[in-house]
Amino acid sequence: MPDFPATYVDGATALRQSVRASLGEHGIALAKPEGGHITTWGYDEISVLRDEVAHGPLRLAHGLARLTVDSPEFAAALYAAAPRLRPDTLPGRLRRAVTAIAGSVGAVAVLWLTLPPLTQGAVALIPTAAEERLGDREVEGLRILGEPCRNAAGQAALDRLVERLTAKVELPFHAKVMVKSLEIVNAFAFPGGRIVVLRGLLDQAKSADELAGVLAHELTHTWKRHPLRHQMASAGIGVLSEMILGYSISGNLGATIAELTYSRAEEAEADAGALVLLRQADISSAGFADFFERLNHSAEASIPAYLSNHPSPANRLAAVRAGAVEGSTPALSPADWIALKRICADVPRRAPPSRGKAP
Amino acid sequence: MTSTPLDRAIARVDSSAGAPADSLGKGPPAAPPPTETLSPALSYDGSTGELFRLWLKTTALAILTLGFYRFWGRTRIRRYLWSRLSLLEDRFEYDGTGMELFARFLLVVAVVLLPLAAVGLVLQFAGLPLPWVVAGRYATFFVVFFLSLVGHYTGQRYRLSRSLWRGIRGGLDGSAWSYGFRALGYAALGPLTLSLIKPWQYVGLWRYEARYTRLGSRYLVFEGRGRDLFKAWLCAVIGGFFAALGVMLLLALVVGLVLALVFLPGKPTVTPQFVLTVVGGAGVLYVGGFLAVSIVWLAITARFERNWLVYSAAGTRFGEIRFALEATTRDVRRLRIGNFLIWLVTLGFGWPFVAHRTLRFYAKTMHLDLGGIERLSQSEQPSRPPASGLAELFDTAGFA
Repeated sequence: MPDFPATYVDGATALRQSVRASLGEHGIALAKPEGGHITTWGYDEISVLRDEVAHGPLRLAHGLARLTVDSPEFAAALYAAAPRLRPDTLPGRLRRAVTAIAGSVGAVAVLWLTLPPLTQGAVALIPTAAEERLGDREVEGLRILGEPCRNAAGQAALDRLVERLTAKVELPFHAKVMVKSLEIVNAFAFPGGRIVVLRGLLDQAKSADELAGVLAHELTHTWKRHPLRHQMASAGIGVLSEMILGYSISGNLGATIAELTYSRAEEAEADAGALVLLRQADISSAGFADFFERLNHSAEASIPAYLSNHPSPANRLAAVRAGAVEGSTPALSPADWIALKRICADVPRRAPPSRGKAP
Repeated sequence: MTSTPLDRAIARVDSSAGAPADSLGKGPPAAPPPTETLSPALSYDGSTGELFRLWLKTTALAILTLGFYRFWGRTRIRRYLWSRLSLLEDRFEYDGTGMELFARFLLVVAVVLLPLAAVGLVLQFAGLPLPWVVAGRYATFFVVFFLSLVGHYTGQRYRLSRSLWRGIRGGLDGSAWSYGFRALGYAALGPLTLSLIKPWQYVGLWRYEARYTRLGSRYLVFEGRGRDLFKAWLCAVIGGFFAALGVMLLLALVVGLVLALVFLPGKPTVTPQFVLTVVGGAGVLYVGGFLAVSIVWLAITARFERNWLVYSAAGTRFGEIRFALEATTRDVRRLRIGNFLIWLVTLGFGWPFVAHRTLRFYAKTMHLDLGGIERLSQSEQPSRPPASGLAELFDTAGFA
């Protein structure tokens, strides 16, 4: 039985000894160089230390005792005697990698699927008063949308329009609409019936009916609690990513507007709701449709902003046209419309930061 | 002239580096051992190429598993790094497992992260009065900061308890909470003392950690005083302040010159390109300014950091084993600036290379006196304390 020079520590002290190692039937026998048996390590009790390098001497562990043998013949003989100790083969490693990837993706998918019901449940927990405060805080905090336009006659006209749109529906909250001075064609719904119309959109609207359509649409978003649900979902995704990747001090307020990008189903729901509000308020939906058509046509040119958070496939316009409602009177009297158009007269113009981009 | 341990340590290092040895003859009573008995017994033979290949593999798997593999990847990289470091030609060994890291991470997610997240959601959505929300956010930040200090210690405990040399297991006893409170106290005193507390912070925290750091049944001991390093830190702070000021003035001068060049010929037309140039210029300036100030700061504080390394090595004992660190300010400066740039460029994902360079630095500069190392014995109860979930959650999990 050939024996090989090796170094040995017994796991009790750091005393390093030179030994001879030989492979027996049941294990590795260690002996002093001058002769004298030290110990025998059973093949099923030892492990090979893997250091992520293919070269270098073989290092074996038996509890805390260690044996280092610098001999390829020894390694080959050991692997023949104890195949369990052989390094992993490539197919084995690949199989484990595939299992790990599939398992991880599956685990994340399961977590992902729990998000919508959890979000739904969390939304149901929020009282109306809290939702209104949340909306107020967000509207106040978004300085990037420009200054609030506070012309009294204009605000009174706007309030009358909102009043007319919501007179016959039971909104859970008191709707509050304001105009802000940023010159981008867009409008935003916030939680708790809070809506911000940007000056750019007001300037683009050719009639009070057009604006009424947009308002009815945004009112439906907030009425159906879409903004709150989006923010909840976004917070949920944040928690989920921390559960997987570790804690981060995120607190990203910048995401608030991105969270307001609606799904197609939500857009369809808001359009249908808008038609209901318009019908009950006795306002024609033609203005609403015209406004969309104009946005769709000019989307390539200068005002794709509204479409950036209100995705607008062609069939949306068709649906609005198909469900058209007649109205007997314009949404606002000519005097009120003029007053509303001038609501930002006291506030300096606020140009968009760059061409046609949503903030 | 008083002779502090630092003076003596530095004098010894200077003299061995060929500087005039005028302070040696004075024979300070408690002088460190003469340099001849200390030898560079550590060596590190990790290869950047091997590490890079391993890093690529583990990072790719971490991405493909949506982050889950990182525990196993970190373990493999530590196994590589540890095994490339040897003392008296015997390699170190890391025997942690990815699974124990992962399991502990899951536990801390349930016990720490989910309550924190619940508080965060309530603060965001419950419509509480604004002062409460602000107070809640500060409290959350405070808790996270404190727990990350605790996690720093439990992470260190975990890594040391999975580190072996000649089969002798390392360890770190002591209380992570106690360490956390100390570290928190120093962190709070930092701004109050304009950072002048720093020497005491280094000395105090290392004294606590060293006292409980062991290999087998033998513990480290550190003796040192913050005031021995105060002068070096004061110089660093003053120098750093004026240098940072200088850098900012220089940048302001550049900005002024550019603005003058743009505006003197007449009012420029505001085109999109012009706006883009201005915004881009401001961005470059911001990043460049941050880089310049950071690097200048690291360059200037390198002298203090080098003194601290020399001082802490000279003041640390491991039974009868003593240490000396022989590095020049230039070595330390190169190490720290390089590591900073690696962190920055890789957004922290390049930590293996930071560890790699740092281990190489210590192997090159650390000298030891290893008489009697054979008598080092295993601790009575070789223990494997649990992995540190806090270190994993708050990502204070460095390498050492």
